[in-house]
Amino acid sequence: MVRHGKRGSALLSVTVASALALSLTACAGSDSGSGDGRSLTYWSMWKENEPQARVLREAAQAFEREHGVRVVIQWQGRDVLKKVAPALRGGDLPDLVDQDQALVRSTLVAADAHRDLTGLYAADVAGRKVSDVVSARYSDLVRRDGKPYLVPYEVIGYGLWFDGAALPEVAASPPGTWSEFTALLSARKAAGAAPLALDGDIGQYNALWTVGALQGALGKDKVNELARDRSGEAWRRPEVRAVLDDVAGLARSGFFAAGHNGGKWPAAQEKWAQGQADFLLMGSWAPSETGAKARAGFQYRFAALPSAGRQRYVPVESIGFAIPRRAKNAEAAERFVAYFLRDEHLGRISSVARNLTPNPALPVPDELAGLAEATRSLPLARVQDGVAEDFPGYVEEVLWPANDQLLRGQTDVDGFLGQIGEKQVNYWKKNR
Amino acid sequence: MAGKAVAAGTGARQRPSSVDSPRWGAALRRPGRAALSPGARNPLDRRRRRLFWPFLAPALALYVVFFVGPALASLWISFHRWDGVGEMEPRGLENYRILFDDSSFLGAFANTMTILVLVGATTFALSFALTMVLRDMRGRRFVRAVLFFPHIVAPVVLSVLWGFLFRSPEGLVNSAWRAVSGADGPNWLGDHLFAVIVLGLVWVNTGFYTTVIMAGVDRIPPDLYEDCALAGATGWQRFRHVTLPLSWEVVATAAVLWTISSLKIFEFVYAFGGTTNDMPPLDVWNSALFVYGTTFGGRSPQYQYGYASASAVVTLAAVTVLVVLLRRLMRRETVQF
Amino acid sequence: MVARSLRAERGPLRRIGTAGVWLLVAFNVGVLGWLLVAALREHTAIFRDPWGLDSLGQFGNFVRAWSDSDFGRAAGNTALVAVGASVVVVLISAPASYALAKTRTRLSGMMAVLFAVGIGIPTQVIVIPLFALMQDAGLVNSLTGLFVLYVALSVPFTVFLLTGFFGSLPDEVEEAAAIDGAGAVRTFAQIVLPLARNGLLTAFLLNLVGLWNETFVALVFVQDSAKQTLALSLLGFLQTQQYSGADYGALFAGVAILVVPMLLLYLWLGRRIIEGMTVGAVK
Repeated sequence: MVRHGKRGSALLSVTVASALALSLTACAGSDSGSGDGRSLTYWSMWKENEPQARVLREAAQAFEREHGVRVVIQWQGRDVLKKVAPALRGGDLPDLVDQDQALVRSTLVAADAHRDLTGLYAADVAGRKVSDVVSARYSDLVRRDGKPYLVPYEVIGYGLWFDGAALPEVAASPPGTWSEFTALLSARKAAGAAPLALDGDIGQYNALWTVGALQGALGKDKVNELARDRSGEAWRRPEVRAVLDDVAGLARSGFFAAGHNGGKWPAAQEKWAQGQADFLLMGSWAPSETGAKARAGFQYRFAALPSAGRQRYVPVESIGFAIPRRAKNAEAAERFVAYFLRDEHLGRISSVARNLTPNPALPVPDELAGLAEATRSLPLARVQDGVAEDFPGYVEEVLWPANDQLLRGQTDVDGFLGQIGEKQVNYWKKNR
Repeated sequence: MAGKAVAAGTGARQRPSSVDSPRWGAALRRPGRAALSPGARNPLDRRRRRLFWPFLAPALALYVVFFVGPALASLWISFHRWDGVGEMEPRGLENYRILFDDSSFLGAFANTMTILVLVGATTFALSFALTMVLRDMRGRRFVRAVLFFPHIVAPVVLSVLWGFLFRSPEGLVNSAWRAVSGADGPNWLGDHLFAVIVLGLVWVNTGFYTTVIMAGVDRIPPDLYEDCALAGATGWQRFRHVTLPLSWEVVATAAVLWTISSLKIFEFVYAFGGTTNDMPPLDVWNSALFVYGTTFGGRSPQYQYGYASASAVVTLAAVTVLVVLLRRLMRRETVQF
Repeated sequence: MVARSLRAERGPLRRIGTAGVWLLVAFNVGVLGWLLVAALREHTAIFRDPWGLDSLGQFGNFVRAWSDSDFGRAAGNTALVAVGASVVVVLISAPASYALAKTRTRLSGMMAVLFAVGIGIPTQVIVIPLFALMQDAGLVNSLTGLFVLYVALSVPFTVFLLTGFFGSLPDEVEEAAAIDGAGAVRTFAQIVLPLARNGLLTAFLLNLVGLWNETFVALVFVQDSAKQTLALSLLGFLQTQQYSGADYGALFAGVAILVVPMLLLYLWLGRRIIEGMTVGAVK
């Protein structure tokens, strides 16, 4: 405490002088390349005891043994970019960070504080190039102006999850079209089951339904166009309205298990894992989030969301590495990333952390086999059609408030259109 | 109540008019001493004057460096568009103009005011009621300690509990509702989330402000009440003519504290988002959440520091006006006893 | 006499009020009890029957919460930073509050209001200038820096609270000391401060509770996981629910680990604290 006190008063004398000047206008930061390349700092989104952390830590140890470069890892947890953001202007930055693509894009890329990873994509991974290991189907989704800002190491795919043991005939031939789907849901409901589980207090989970259905009917990137419309009128087009009515129909028909409106996460997904509801529309963390607590004999199965139009899509989102532009040991960080993409390390994201990797050649965990197959056979799209990452704040202030009410049956399609139109005009007014 | 307050004459010692009726005047005429008028010329006062700056300096320095400086910087930032990294782009009063036309902000501001007034009035009314009930109740110390307890538990826990209580259809509240009335209760979290949040805030704050007000009421000498009892006063009369005027200063100060600190209510509302990474629904945001949602919050943060600063400036300005008004309305002569 | 005044109040209103008070007490005790029970139950059981007692006795929850959130290392940091800052802020604010409360001039009134306004400034708004400031002082990612911030950020509320408290202290004792020839500083240290003991303790505890649970400042200003605080560790642990799965038993255990020390402290100091809550007047 004494030490603190002394340094505290030293600080005081320094800072009183600089208080009003505040040095806000100083130091915009120099570019990278001043580190010695013998070590690098990595701030990770995982906590020490999570399986992903184990995989990354062991790879870092192997990297140090083979290349003599120490990887100093701080397990910051999910809020890692909240620590990066204030430091971007002049603070000490890590050489390597990871998070999902929406957060990296809105934090690093939006501020133009990321490193262009084009060079890294050409780097060597045990005889191949990074661009050979990471499927272009994923890396194409993490570019700005054609240049990649992220190297994915874990892929999240979105769709319907269900218990193959309880619904073997669905597992054998999952519904492909919206009408097949609603027929199945009606039959299940008539049989006394609760067809759909939804934690409706999470705006994104509600939006997966609406945006997913719109992607299927209109094609990918179309919702993104709707969101871009300054007047909000684009949502009123008849083909959009028809799909919205299909989605509203889910609530009207009572397909969602009780508690989707008025419950609290994770109550609905818990019920689903206990076999009290049939389908859960969610990302591929569904097995890992519920797996430890699921009913005995639960077999995780995946089906792409049936389409209200011609095409089914698998919405995906990558978790991956990014390098701040001012990183001091950017080259070393790139070498570590390329090293991590080798099969013996990246493969453990699948075998140990039970997740999908961006390398289609690697084996996949059993519970994700259906998803892996779907990512090969169906076209991919961005989750929520990319509106979250392209237009920061749009989902919270525009899409979710209107959409929550639609999914809860609190409003009809006209009410939804009125609300989203008004909120979208408001959003673009301030984000010109 | 406040309308009846006596306008303050500087320096002169006055009793509040409400206790000045002959009947209560006798009860109040006790050995007391005059409040120090500003500029009193006794030696104690002079010595205190000399100590003013040395005593104030350390706290003031910290305050200036860590609040006033950054707050002025934020005021400056509020005239710009700024993502926190690149160059600031001057926009004059543009942020403010947009702000008064932004339905997200206006909703959040309205919620802040609702919390301030509704939660505040309810909390203070309840706190007074509890104080009166507790005054001569057995086990009052224990009760008071228990009532204070929600204040020391992290808000995130309280709202998890709130979720289990109010979720429908199977929450405890609705189970009880069904048992009593046979019908399904309201959909609390789905249709009345803000009401549930208001209720929770009243619960958390009532314990705190009851403690504050009780501490003020406890300082009133018990023999005053005995005098009143002798004079045959009813409970309400005693409250109206003794308790309220003599604890007035404490109440006025507590009201100022509530008004200012209600601005920063954050965690309890935030925790109603689905996960720890999600903002709660837009229609329950207050200004503090708006600031967070416009900077760090959400699944794709906006980092609009200029705009967020403008919203904070507006809210803080509005509340400062309210505080000044409140102090003016509640000002009465100090009754020392 | 007292008996008579009591009798005068035995109305139906009062009986309702008393019943209401005990209901509220029962509710609060129930909340605490529920939290501690849930911390010892199994995850699925909590969701199946939140108010039941089955599967009670899962002490493993505490082990898991402790090791997964790395509480061991964080406990020392928190004790140092939160307790230290709560003590220091009271020591710094007490003389200032005394000066504001007892010097009744226009200037002191304005100063008191100026401090009060600081209570309402949201941290998110000043965090970027603060970060620049701390960066220049070399105090980012250091416990010393966090300590300094905690002291500084607690100043407005503490000054506000203590100004009211000093305002409520009678002047007689000081006048007597002045007549006895005691110096002003000595009077303050040896006479006023002991008199204000309960107020100081209250300020200490309220600050400690606030800093104990504080996450945002710690999140932004501390990057080294060896320097994490308890609240930050708990937050990180809560966030692993996303992707790695929820375990509400362990979650409540983690929360209990954080709440129980505050609870014990409160039980120990509670009476004095409650007596010190007299906010009195800000002039």
